[in-house]
Amino acid sequence: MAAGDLAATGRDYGSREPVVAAPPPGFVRRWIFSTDHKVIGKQYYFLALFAAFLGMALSLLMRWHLIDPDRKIAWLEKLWPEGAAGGIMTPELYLSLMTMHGTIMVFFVLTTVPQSGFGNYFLPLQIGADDMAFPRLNMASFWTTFVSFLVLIAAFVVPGGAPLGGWTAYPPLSGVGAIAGPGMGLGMDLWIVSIALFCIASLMGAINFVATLVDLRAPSLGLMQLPLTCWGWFTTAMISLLAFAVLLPGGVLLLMDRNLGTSFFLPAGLVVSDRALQHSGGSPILWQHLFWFFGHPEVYIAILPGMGFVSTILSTFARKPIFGYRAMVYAMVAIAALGFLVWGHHMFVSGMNPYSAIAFSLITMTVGVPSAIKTFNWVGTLWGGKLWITTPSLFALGFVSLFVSGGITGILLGQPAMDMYFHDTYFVVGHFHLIMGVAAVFAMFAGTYYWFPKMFGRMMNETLGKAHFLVTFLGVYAIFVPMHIAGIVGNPRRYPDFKEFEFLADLKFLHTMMTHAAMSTAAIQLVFLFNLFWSMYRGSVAPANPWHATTREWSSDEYE
Amino acid sequence: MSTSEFQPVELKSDVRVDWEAKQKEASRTGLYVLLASILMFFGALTSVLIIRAGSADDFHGVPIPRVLWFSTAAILASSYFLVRNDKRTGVVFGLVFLAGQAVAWVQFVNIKGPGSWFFWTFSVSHAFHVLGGFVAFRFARFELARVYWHFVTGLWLYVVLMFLIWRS
Amino acid sequence: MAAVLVWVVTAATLALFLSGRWWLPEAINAQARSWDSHFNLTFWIMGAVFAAAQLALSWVVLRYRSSGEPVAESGSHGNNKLELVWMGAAAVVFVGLSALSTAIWAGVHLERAPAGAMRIEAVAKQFAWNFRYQGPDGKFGRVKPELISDANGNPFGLDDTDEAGRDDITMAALRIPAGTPVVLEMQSRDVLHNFFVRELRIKQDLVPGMRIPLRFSADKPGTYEVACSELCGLGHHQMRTQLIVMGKEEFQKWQQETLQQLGVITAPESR
Repeated sequence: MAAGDLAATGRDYGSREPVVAAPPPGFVRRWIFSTDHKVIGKQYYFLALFAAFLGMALSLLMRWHLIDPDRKIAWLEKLWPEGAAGGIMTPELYLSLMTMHGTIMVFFVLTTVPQSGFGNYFLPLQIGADDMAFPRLNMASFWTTFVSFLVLIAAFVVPGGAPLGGWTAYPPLSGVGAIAGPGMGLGMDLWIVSIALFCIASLMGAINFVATLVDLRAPSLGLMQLPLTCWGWFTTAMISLLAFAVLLPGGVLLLMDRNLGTSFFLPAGLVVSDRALQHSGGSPILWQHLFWFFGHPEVYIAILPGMGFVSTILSTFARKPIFGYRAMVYAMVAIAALGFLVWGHHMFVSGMNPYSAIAFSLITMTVGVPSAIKTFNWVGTLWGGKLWITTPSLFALGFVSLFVSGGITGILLGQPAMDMYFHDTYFVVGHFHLIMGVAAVFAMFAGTYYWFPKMFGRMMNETLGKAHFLVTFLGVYAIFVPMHIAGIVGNPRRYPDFKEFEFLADLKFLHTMMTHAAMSTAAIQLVFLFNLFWSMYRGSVAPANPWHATTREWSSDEYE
Repeated sequence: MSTSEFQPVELKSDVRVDWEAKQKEASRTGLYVLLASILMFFGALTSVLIIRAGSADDFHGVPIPRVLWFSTAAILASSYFLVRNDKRTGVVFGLVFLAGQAVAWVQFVNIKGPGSWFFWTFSVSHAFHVLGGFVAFRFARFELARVYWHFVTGLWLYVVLMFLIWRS
Repeated sequence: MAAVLVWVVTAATLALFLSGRWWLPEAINAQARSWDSHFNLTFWIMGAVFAAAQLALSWVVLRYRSSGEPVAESGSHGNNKLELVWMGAAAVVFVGLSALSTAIWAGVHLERAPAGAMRIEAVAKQFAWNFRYQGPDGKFGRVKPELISDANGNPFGLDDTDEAGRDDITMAALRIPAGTPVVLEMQSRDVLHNFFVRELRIKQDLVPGMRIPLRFSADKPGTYEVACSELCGLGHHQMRTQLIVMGKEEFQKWQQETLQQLGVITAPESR
């Protein structure tokens, strides 16, 4: 590449050495020890892609089990000789699948793809930096995430299997060891270690993102000129920085309670399995405070980058600037800041002070305001535009629809009185899957179809992409809307079967429908997977700026 | 309020940018951001301490081993020498600090009870951050490593304050 | 395509919610009935906002879609006034709903129990419920954790040497007289559990190390299922008991008979 070309693209505005470095030769140097943000972005993306399909497979097993708990599945016994003795899934296996599904999806998919995957790849390109501020730290952060993932997966194969305490790991269940059930021994320890490593990796990543955004922007690029994608990554990094730093000591203390005989979260007088335990003075609710101080902001870690993608993509395809750009930025900052003050709404029925529940509720309701502003502005961005319907714009529109559907029920759950009925029912499961799970996943799909040409130099197949959107969009509604109905009937979550309760017998039809919808939605993801890998090698060659976008990554010559 | 994302921001290719200076600034930002997250970490530990001390009647403080005053003096001395740009002596006093901590831990092995758990969590977490300081002196720019070190010194004074408040 | 899909899911969602095929069970006290009316208010507001937002989205997609690959740029950058009006409206509705429901919350958690309320103790464990009634002496007998043993039929760890405990009734199901205020003093002896009665619209965690009082009453005699609603281990889904609401006289009769069986009082016939 000649120096003149660089000047023409506007990338060579510094005195630094060549902007475009050829990828280092050899698989090991390129894929293992690479400090290049683009390679690291892809590493994160593919790690998360694997995690997403694993997490989805676990959820299918759960859904399949729910409609016929006594079904014999021969190969299940091969995978889990104890958990599925005779081919019938035991409740403890179901609960461990559920725990791992939640953990994998929240940490290794929702936290990983939008921020670490796309963020690493596109943040430097969008702000005109050569790389992230600390490339080696970046590499360390990816490999720590990778090890954290391996440690988590190891829980499946150790004696006792994976933990069954849910992704929230509430003590005393998570704190008293193997007597609390299979998987609560070594499996639970591995879970905690994995999460602690993930915290460290996320902190390293967050430091990198903030430093890069604050100091390595092109000279002419002010904060209020940043694409909203960058604001999404910025606010998310700030949240990660403060939230993971609280989960980390929480995990350490839980590990101490389990292995060193301390009592931070374990009170006196515990009798588990007819055995009296020697703990005293700890508080189970204290863990919930630490966990949700992280856990609620984590929801925004998953969704804020997606909000950025969707804003950019809708603006690009409607051929219009963002409607209310400043309001959008303020809304993101407000969501990030308020997100730290609302963790108590997960704990309305926990036994905490009922007065604080009222305060948490009022602040929770105010988070709805910036969310409403964002929706308003997305519609405003489309208003009067010329909307070009493509796969990325369809997924972005789907995101807006899901964000509304998932968000609106928050108005109900945010009221302590209403939550007294809905807490831990399928209503909550439907709510958070729509808003935190599926909406964020739609943003990832939108991002994938949108940026694929930049990342791989080829276009993804539009027909397959639209089919993927069609089935996924209908599918996720068919899975998660009936969950709300089941929740209204009072169906508790985290039940491996519904045989014990008369009032749950009536929900058979709904659960069957959800399972079938889940199977169909999962099947179409194989089409996506095919499209992704096929297009990498066989897709039509992409023009430099296929969507006529205005953000800077499209005018950069940097390819991995 | 017509700021628009739709128009590409003009790039002025004639602007000469001192990238090295920018990178230095980024390191500084990164450091401060790191310090913020360390504060959150110790803040979380502190809130656990406050709640744990207040919520159950089994909580009692622990005696402060005398050697902690020696450690405290050592880490203050190391910061003093670093201010005077004497990296070597500063690092040596850092090692002296850790040695003092090790003595304190040995003396503490047999002390039981909730107060001692906090002694352990605070002092060991802090020691990890001291080790991080040595790494910083090896790999990071001296002025930044020094800021970090002063922070760790301040953090230690805070930890001692916690011990004083909850001592028996 | 996008607009039609949005219509389809909006219509299907509304149809499912409005069909009434699956809904809340009947409320069995005044508290739960006021809960229902606030739920209905929230539900209709949510439904209206949901439908309006989805229709707005599909309308702009339909109205402003372009057939090919457009290049023209047009349109406004924003509208501060509209933004502020929208913000204000959202804030008033959201915060207002929360404020309105505070009365229901206060009714359950902040008001004091009436003087004549009946005290019942609940102890949960993996994966069963136990309830304890004061006998005629109006006192709970002393308990010792080290005496807890399911094998010996002593789930509370009742101390035999305490006179006050001799007349305590312990049961696996919760029986209460209709119309009488009850204070359920809830404890757990191992992990978190949750007491959930759908018909009461009440849910409360049982936390080891804490004694959490829950105040309620029920008007309508009947048998209602109690489901554990906080993950408590591999038998979580089987942790079931019943709330049996009896007529006042029927309840007294049951209480007398049970006390006779315990040998605390003698049967009237043999007097």
